[in-house]
Amino acid sequence: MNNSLDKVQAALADYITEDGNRFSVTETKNDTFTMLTIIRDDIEEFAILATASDSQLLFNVALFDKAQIIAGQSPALHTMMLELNMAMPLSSFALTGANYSIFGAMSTESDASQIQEEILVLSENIMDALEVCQHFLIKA
Amino acid sequence: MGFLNNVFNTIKGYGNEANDAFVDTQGIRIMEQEIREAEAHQRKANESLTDVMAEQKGIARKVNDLKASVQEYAEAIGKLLDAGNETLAMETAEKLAELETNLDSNQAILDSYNEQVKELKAIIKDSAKQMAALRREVSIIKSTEAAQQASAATAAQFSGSNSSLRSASASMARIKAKQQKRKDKMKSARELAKEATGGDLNDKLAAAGVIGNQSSASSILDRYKKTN
Repeated sequence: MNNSLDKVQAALADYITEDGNRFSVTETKNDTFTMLTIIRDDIEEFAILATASDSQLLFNVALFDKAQIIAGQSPALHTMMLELNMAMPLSSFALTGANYSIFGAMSTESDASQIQEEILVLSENIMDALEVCQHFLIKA
Repeated sequence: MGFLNNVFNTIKGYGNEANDAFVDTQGIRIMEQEIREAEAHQRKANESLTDVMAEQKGIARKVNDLKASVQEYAEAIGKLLDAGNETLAMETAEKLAELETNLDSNQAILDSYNEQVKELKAIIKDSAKQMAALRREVSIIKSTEAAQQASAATAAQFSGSNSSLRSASASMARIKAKQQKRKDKMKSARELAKEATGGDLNDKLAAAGVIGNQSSASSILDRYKKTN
């Protein structure tokens, strides 16, 4: 399982996007799971969390929690998320516990360039996803 | 029950209860037990298949031998009748009747073995499919669990430093401002580089029509016209 995460770390080590962005990767291990925290240098506040099972790699970005949704707007937000799921390249919306996120999943057999593309597209989807969701969120 | 239904029932965390276990460990235990049972079932079916196929082969051999004997005695009866030896023909016919009864009962046993082999092979194929499906479910649930635990770990980090999870809209505004600043910086750097190479002044002179951007056939022709 960790071999797959090692592959992610290796793929991002010297990777620089066309816009000059880099990704920093930190590994966290405990008794039950291992994860990578991947941070794109211009979107530091939304970390991509990578975990792996025997067959797939999951990349998840927590966007906001239920408490940030304007009262009564959850159903409309959910409908919008479902409608946009298909249009969002390589990523999908998800709800885990009280946290809304976008995630991408790929086979552990994926190679370095596929991993780089997945992470790049997911990181680019973060701001786009927040942009459409902000209409349903309490303003800071 | 369908695959997604099983997963849905096993994964918790669809509510707000932060203290709940993420995944119903009892559910995973049940699925792992089902895999073990399917494996045991398949092992047993494999053993039975080996036994039944051995028996099947033995009976098939016996049936073939009996068929050959029946054929042999039937031909002998014909020959004995042709030769007018009715007494021996009758004795042979009695033996043939005994052989045919024996053949019928063995053929029935062989048919039942053939049926059993078919059924056991189907059971083995089904258990293999069932095991693959269950293994896939457990793998998906475990990876979802890992992702949920990872999210929770990060949420805990944020809630440790702030009063609650950071506000998404505030973060977005900060990131946008930062990205804009970065873009502006890059633009300025490009402009500075252009000035350093004189590109900026040349652009202005070209725009004012004082200098040409490039030599062209018409500008060369103009130059000749002026000198002549």
